[in-house]
Amino acid sequence: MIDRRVGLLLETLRAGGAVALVEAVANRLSAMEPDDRPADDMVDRDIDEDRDDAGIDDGGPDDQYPLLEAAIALRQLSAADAAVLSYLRIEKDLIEAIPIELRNLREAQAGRGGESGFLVKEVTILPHDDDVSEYDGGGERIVGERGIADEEALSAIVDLREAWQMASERTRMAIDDGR
Amino acid sequence: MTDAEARRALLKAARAFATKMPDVAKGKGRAYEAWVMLALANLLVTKGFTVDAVDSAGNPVRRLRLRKKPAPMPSDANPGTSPGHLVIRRHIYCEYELHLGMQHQGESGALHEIDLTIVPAEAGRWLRKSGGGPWRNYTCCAFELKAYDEGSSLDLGIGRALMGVAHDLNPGRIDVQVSVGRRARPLGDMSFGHDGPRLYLVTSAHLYPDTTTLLEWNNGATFASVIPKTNEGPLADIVEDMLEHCRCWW
Repeated sequence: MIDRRVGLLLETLRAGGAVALVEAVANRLSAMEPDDRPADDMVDRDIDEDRDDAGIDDGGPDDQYPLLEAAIALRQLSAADAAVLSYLRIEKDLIEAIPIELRNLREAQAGRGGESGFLVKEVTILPHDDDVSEYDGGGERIVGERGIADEEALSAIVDLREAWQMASERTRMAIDDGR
Repeated sequence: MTDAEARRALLKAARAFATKMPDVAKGKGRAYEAWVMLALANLLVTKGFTVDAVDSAGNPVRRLRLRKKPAPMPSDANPGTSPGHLVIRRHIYCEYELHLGMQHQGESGALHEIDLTIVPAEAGRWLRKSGGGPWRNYTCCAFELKAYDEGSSLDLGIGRALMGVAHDLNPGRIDVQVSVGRRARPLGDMSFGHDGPRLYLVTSAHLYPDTTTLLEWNNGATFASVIPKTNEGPLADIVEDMLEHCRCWW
């Protein structure tokens, strides 16, 4: 079961339309082994040190439950962090790597003599291709062109990464505080 | 910043991301497939191949159009709006095409999408000239490309699915090994047969050992953690494997 505080973050991503990121996180969480769940005697008690609740008694099993719950939430949050940041990093690297591959292909074949060589400077994805008859040539989304489209995409990735990190850090603090 | 403000900022950033990169936000981006194809093409150039990007009529292009969804081989009648492909050539008898997301028709009649395929160029030209359609001819290499979170492991089901597609494309796979001898004196072993496409599962994620075992037993190979800029080394291994194992006249 996903902790409600982590779930709130995922619901925010989903509401914004970043469905693939939510799926990436869900895959990581569902793949967590039972061993990933902290044993009762390995709950990180440091997370409770700053609490004002002086009456808490770590000796009884009932009192350990919030600690265990918090530890599980923190592990889920770490897994979510890793999945989101990994996904965004790969997409950012792809935007940067494709123009490099195109340039290398052009430069490596620049001296082919009478032949045309490799001319491609950008790669586009056709919007309608379920049927060849539907190709209309319009509305193509550019990938791989280091132009305005790529700069905007890179900027969107960086902004989302920063926003996630901030929201994740706030969630971590909330878990630590027992909120 | 409060918790609520942080979540509002996250919502705003997610919306901007989904607006700028709608396919990526839905997990339907094609950038990983495009990158693998171009990176392999670069490595093939180092092996003595020439690489051209052409439209469906075979004209060199400056803008390479790729399929977003699975689609058949286009006709050569509308080169300005149809998807293009790469042509690799080493000598006059060695000319092949690289296609992203092309539909293949299996022996059962079912259509299958293969992320990246390498097919003989002559047969490709003939199909486009004949009006296009799903690919039914010989396929040298078939790639399943999965850009997943690098910390996750691909489910074994993906390997099984690839195997199922390969079987439908080539149900009559025959491998015969014959021991030859004369008067009980062994002279050696011979093997011959008809094989299907060499299968590749390439992913940015991890793989379970069973997936690799399954594909290696069935004329395939797996390459995990293949990530742009971070871990591109396996791509060179793929090219070596292609040149060694694909039943094409390289």
